[in-house]
Amino acid sequence: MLADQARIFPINLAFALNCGGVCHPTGLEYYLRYLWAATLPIIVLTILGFGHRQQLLRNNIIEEYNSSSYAIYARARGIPSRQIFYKHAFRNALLPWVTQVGLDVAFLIYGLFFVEVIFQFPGIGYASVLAATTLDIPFLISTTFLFGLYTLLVLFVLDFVYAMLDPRIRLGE
Amino acid sequence: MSSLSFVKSVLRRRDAIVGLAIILFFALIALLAPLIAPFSNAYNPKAYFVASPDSPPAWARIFPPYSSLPPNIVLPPTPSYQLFKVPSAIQYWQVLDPVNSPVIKYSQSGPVGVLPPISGAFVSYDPTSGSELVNLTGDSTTPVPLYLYHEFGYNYQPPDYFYAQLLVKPITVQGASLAIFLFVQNEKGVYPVALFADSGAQTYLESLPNLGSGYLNYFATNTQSTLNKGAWNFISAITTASAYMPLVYLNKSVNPLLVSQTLFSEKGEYKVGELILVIPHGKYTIALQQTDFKFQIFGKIYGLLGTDANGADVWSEFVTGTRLALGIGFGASAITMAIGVLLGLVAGFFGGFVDSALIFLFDFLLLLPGLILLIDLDTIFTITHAVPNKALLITLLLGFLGFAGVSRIVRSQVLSLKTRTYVQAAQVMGASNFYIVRSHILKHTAGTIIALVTYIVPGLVIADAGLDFLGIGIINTPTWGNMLNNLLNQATASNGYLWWISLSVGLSIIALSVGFYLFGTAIQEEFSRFS
Repeated sequence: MLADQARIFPINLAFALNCGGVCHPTGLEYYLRYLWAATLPIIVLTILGFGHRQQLLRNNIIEEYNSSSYAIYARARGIPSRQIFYKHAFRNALLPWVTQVGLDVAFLIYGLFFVEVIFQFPGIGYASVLAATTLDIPFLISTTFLFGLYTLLVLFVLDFVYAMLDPRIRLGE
Repeated sequence: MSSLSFVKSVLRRRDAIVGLAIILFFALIALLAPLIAPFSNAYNPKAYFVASPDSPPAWARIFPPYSSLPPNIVLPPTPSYQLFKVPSAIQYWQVLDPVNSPVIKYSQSGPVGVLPPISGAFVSYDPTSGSELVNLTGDSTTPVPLYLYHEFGYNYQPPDYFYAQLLVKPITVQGASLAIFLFVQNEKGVYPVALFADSGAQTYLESLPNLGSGYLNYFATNTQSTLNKGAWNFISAITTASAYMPLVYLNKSVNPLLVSQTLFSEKGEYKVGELILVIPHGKYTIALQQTDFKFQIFGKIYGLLGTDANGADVWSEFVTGTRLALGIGFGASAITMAIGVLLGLVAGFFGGFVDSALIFLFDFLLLLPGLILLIDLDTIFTITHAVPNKALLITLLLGFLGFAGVSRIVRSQVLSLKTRTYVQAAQVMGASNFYIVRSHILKHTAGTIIALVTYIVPGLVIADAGLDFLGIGIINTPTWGNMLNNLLNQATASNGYLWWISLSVGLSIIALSVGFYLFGTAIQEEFSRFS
C-alpha cells in the first residue's frame, strides 16, 4: 500500500522487472533492477524474522558474557571488558546464531510462498501454489523435489560451516 | 494444592485476564455466529449487494471524508410494508392528481376536488391476492395523471445505484389508453425512470409536440415496454441498466452512465413512485391490480464492517471466518495434543528403543519442510476426495502434522519427572506404569500441556489463514485467509485500501495471537510456581 501510494517501490515484481513489457533489461542493469524491485519483499521478510534472531543472539551473548568460565577468567586476568566481549563472548555466542541463520537459509524459502503471491512474482513458490490450485500433480512433484533438494543441500553445507566455526566439532568422527 | 486455587492464582494476574478476555471475545463471536451474522455465507451470490460495493462501515461517518455518504434507503421503510402482506401498507401511499383533479370521478362519492381517503375504494387492498386495487372512473377527453408516491428526505452525496420496481396487472381498461411510469422527482423536476404503455398510449405519447421523438425512440428501442392487459407487467428501473430508462431518451442532458448521480445530485425532499397516466376518450373505467412499489438506494456506508467488492456484508464474513478459524484451530490442536502428549509420554516414560524410534519420528517430522508438505498432501487429498469437507481436511492435516513439537516438549518433561524421588518411590512400592503416568507424571505436566495448547492454537489459526490466503485452503466460504486473499486484488487507493476488511482481519489475527500468548504464559508461570 505504501508502495502503491508513494510509487517508490513496485508491488508487482514481474511487471516491474520488464517495465510492463516495454524494456528487457540484461546484464548488470537487470540485477540492479531486480534489487530495486526486491526491496519491499526483503524489508517484509526482515521485519518478520528480525525479532526472533535478535532475541536469540542477545540471550546467548548475555549468557556467555556473564556466566561462562572463560569470560570470568579473562576478566580476572584484567583484560578490558570490550575485548572480552568481542573476542570471547561474541564469537561463542555467534555459534547458535549461525545455526539459526543456516536453518533460515534452508527454511526461509517457504516464506517466499506468501511473499511471491503478495508481490505477484512468478517464482517457485508461486509456481507451487499455482500447481496446487490447478491440481497439477506433475508440476507439484517437480517443485516439491526442487524444494527438497534445496533444503538438503543447505543443511549439508551447514554441517561443514558449523564444523569450521566450532573447533569442538570434527568432521568424519 | 487444589486445582481451584491454581485457577484463582492464574486469574489474579492481569495479563491472564486480558488474554482470557480476548480469547473469550473471539470464542463468543464464533459460538454466536449463526445468530449475529445476517448471512451464513456472504460469498454466495444471494448475499451480494446489500449495499454498494466497497462501502465503509456505518460508524465511519464520524470521519469527515465519509460523513455525507448515504445509508441504505428502502421504501417503504418497515419490513411488513415491504413484504406488502398487510392491508395498512396502502396507507403509505401518498396520492396526488395535481392538474385535473376535478375531472376524475372516484368510484367512492366525495366532494369534487378533494382527494378521497387513500384506503377507500380508490386504492384498496385485495385480500385474496394480497395486492392493491386501483379503481378510476370518469368522463374526460384530456389526459388524467394520477400520482402515487413515497416521500423521503435526501441529504447525502449522490449514490451509485438504486432500483425501483412494481408489478401491475390491468384488469379493466375501458374507453381509455393507459401508460404507467415510475418516476423520481426532485426540486428540479420529474424524471421518468421506467415506462410501460399500451398501443393507444404509445401513439399518444409519440404525438406529443415536444417529447414525441424521444418517446418514439424509446418505444422503438425498448420493445418489451408494452403494457399487456390481463397479465402481470414487471415495471422496473435499475441503474445497472440505466440505458433503458426513458429519461435518457427524453432528457438529453442526462448521461446514461451517471443516472443516479444526476438524479440525486440535489439535497432535499424527493418523491419516488408511480404515475398512472390515463388517456381517455369520453367515459372510462380503469381497474388495476398491483403489488406494492419497491424502491431502494444502495447505501455507500453499511453495517458494522461495511461491504466488500461484491457488496456483501463484511461483518458476516468476519463472523463466519472467526468461527471457522477457531474451529480449525481448536480442532487441529485437539488432535495435535492427543497424539503429541500420548507419544511424548510413551517415549519419555519407556525410554530405550521405543524412545529412539519415536525421537527419530519427531525429528523427521520437525525437519520436514512443513508448508510444502501441507500443500502436497492437501492437493492429493483434494484430488482423491478422501475427505468430504475441505475444512475437515485442513483440520486433520494440521492436526496430524503438528504433533512432533508437542511430543518433544512433553518427552523432555517426562524424562525429568521420571527421576524424581516420588516417582521412584511409587515404582518401588509396585505401582503400575499406568498409575504412575496418570497420577504423578500427567498431573505434573498438566500446566505445560495447557500452556502448549494456548501456544499451538494461534499457530494453527495462522497456518489455516495462510493456506486460505494462498488459495489452496477452504474455497467459496468466507474465512480470514480468503478475505485477505480477495483484498490483494481489490484494495486500491480509491477505496481506501478497504481498511475495514484489512484492519478487522489483520488486527484479529494479531489480537488472537497476543491473547493466547498472554494466557499461556500466565498459566505456565503460575504452574511452575505452583508445583
